[in-house]
Amino acid sequence: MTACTYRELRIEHVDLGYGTRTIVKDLSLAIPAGKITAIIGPNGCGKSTLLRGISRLLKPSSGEITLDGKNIHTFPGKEFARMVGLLPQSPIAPDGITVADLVSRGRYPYQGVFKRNTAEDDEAVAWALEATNTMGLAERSVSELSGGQRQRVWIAMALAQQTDILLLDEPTTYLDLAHQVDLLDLLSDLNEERGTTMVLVLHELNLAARVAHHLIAMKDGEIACAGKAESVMTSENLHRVFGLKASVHDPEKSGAPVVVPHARVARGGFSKANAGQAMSEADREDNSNE
Amino acid sequence: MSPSLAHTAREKPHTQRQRTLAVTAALVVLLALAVVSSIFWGTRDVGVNTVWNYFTHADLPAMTEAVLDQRSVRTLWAGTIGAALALAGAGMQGVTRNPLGDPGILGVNAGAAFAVVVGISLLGINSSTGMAGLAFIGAGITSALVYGLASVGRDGATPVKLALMGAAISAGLGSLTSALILNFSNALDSLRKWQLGSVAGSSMEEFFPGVFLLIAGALIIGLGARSINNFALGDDMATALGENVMLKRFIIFIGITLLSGTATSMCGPIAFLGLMAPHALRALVGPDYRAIIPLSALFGAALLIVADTVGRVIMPPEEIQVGVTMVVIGVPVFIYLVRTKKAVEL
Repeated sequence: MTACTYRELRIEHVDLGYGTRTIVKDLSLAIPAGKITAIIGPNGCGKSTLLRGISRLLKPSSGEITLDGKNIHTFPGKEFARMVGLLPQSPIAPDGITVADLVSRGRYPYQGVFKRNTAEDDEAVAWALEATNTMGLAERSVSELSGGQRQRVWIAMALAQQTDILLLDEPTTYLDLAHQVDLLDLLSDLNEERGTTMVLVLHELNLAARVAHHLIAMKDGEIACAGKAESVMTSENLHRVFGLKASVHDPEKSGAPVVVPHARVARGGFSKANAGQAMSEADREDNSNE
Repeated sequence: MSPSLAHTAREKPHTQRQRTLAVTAALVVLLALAVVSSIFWGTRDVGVNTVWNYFTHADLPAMTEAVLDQRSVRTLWAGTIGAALALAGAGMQGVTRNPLGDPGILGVNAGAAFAVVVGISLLGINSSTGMAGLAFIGAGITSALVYGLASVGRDGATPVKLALMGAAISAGLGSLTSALILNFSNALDSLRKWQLGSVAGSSMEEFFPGVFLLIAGALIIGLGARSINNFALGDDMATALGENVMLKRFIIFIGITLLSGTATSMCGPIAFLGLMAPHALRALVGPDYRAIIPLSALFGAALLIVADTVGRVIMPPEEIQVGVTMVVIGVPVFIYLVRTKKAVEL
């Protein structure tokens, strides 16, 4: 498949929110083209809201988001959808839809009311299935797939859309660790092969450090710090942003540090000596509650 | 990319296409059979030769010709209304992402019934044209009201808000209708007849103004098939695919109102068809509305013609109204289809 065009995505003094509640405040940033950017931060920090803003699901109440210098809200819907794709947090698969059918829905921005599927559409769908290693599932019903397979299929659909920029809102939620790694490796490969600019919202810090070229840590609707993983993922920053006491290591010297939360100082002295007693006390409490 | 891969990707749509083609062929045959039997059977028996002569414009006794004329018009009405209700149902299920979607959800039936009762009891209207007009106005105002109220708030008219507002307004109008009927008992008879749904007294003259509105509605739903496909992926995904969700939903909503409002004004509220036809087709050809929409129309047309024919022949010389036979025939067919689908999936 053809390589992606690098596009300049900028967020300038943007306020985003719902109704009168502002969640993202006066935020400015530039998304590095052709790189993977991961947005991290505690729950409710506004990272998903920011992604909704970038994908036009939410209009900024002030400031503007620009793509190649043009306000994103000035593009016609389909034109924008040919440049920027989104995998929302919980997309809905219609009951009984097959994998091939679902992936081909990603071709909508290239089709008109009377324009039927073209060879180009078929090719893009086949490529997306192949790239996500889901070709073998093409005829299966999406509802019968495992969580990991299903997420690959959604990514295939987003790939079939062939955008230069791909936004993913917590793509690894509900996957086990092996499948999370697997999925993020897939995104890395795609980024390397096509040069797709990716922006991910991620909860898993270690994985964010592993996949992203650029990390953005958000807190209370503002950017707390941004940059390479080793500069963002420090124990000071983690404490500041998440209120988390943790040490940061880089065992493989790979520039992808690993966060290890500090061992918990057990409440009520949960040591080996009185562990049994503590357990039975807890049990008794449970029983009395019933 | 190798050509064989592109071929594999096309493989599945291919088998699905074959299935869709088979279902289309079956429905066309069903519709043809329904039309023929509707013209053959009735309270007065007509021979094969007579029907042949009728269609070849040979000379026939005036009486026979009048009967066949009336049956043809009736068949045309039943087919048109059946298709319209099925299309409205398909649109409604798509827009609300609700498999139980039915134009009745928008309060169209309740609004039409209320307007008719107001007309009969307070305005003294009793002609069928007058009642049709009232029903159309009532249906239109109600669905506009439902949409307007559902649109209040940040997200606009979301599927859930539409369904809730429709249910609320329907309930409110239903009790107002009951209150009026209790106080104007003369309205009860007319309403009762109207409310069952019938194509019995249909004429070609009354067919025409309505059919244009139905065609407009059908075009909107037909051309909206891709948008409805997008809605099915959720509003976020639909927007990400470049769909203007609020605008398209509003336009399709107008199409649904045109179809169900006009159909209800022409024949009274005919229940269940709008719910059943798209559901049955989804079970047969999958979730692609580009197939569901046209095939629902075929199925709805055939089904209402059959229902009307059965209503005519089941206990001559009396006729049972199509609204009743429709449900009696529709329910077992529906249960059968839904169960077969399960068997296929397992």
